[in-house]
Amino acid sequence: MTVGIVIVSHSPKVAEGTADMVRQMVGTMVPLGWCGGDGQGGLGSDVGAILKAIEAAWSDDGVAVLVDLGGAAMQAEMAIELLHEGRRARVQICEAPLVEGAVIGATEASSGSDLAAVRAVAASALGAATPPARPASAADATPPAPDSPEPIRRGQAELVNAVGLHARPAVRFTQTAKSFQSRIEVALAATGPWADAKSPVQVMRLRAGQGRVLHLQVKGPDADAALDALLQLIRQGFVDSPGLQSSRDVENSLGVENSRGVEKSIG
Amino acid sequence: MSGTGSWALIQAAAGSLIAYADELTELDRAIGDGDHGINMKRGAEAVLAKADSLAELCLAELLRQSGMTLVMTVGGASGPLYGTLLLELGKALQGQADPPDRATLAAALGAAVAAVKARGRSDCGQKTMLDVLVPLQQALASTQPVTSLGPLALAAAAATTPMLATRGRASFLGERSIGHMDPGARSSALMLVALLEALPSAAASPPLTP
Repeated sequence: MTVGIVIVSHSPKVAEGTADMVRQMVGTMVPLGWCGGDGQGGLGSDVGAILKAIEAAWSDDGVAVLVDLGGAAMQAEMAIELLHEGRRARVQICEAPLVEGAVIGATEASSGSDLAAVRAVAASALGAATPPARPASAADATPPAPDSPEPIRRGQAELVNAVGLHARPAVRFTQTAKSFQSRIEVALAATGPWADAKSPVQVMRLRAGQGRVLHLQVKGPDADAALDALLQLIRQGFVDSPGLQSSRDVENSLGVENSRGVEKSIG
Repeated sequence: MSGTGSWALIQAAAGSLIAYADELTELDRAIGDGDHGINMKRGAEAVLAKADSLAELCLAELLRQSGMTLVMTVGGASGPLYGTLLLELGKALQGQADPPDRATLAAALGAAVAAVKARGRSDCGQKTMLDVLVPLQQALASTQPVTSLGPLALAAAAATTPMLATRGRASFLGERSIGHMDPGARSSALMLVALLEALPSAAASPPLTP
């Protein structure tokens, strides 16, 4: 289970459209709830609907709530205060733009990051190309100690797929990276600068298009397997990787569920 | 003031919001999203519709349940803000004498206003309901006669007209917010006036000496 995402807009159309964009990125991997409007056909926000959306997106790992205007933020705060004590601390509002924050926050969540990391990344959604300092996250692999005997393994592969390291390929890439314990870094040149291969935001900000060569450096107990898996993923154009949802599945999942006001992910 | 005495106060405040709904919406149309009157009226009607379950409650519980009703029905920022005001007022009056004396009420309102400030991350001077609630609470905590409180609240609301909004939807307008009374300040004043007018003489005890 990943961190859940809740979208709260004054407009049901904005909420639904944002949910569509999140689904396009992460499919059903991330529990998602959304609500918009005053419940009577007008613009506004509604504490009861927010509570239902939180319920729909519930994850024991926490729920990140994205809001648009001030009223929605206050309504979301009230909704959180009305939750049972055990759940309250696990639901937090993101200080982030609604659409960008939801999409990029869900992307981060899909790679298994914790709530603090999802919130930090969402908050940086409008930031410059420079990736933010990666927040400490329990889900991250522990980097090897400086005197670690393990050698650094290096490799490179060309991006062959049409969109390069675009959003969904970047998510697939970081998911694969996160399935290994080793510290994995990726760059567009053998000399860096290096990005954390387990951070969807950092990987996306490489803006690596088709034909670019990705350089990898890996250090850790499973470095060989990690390097092989990632190089294979890149060379295959991110189309197939055992145990992971293919991009096509993600696309197919769109439109099937988003006709419902509040949806529950199976992810 | 348990039972119907407290309910009469809530009825008065709700009735005032309903009666002035058009004016509040008109004010909100100038500097907000034009739904303040409609939203407050919806909340007031929802509270009044619960007469059967609310009318016999003690003041503290009545305030809490009315506040929760506003939270769930008013929407926008007003629902959480007015909901917080009543919820916290009810919380502060829990276990106190019913009706509360003036000092208790002033202290409870102080706690409730602080909660509204926290909820809205706002304070006086930003062209909001706090520009009415804060001076009213201060007057209640002072020795000013009860009869002066209503006019004070109305004047405080009117005094938001020349202010520059720096919080809430009106702040999006910047300097164009100047010259219009804040609808939240106005609705706060209208409710307070209605409450004060409905106070039974028992609650309007003589002002406390410092």
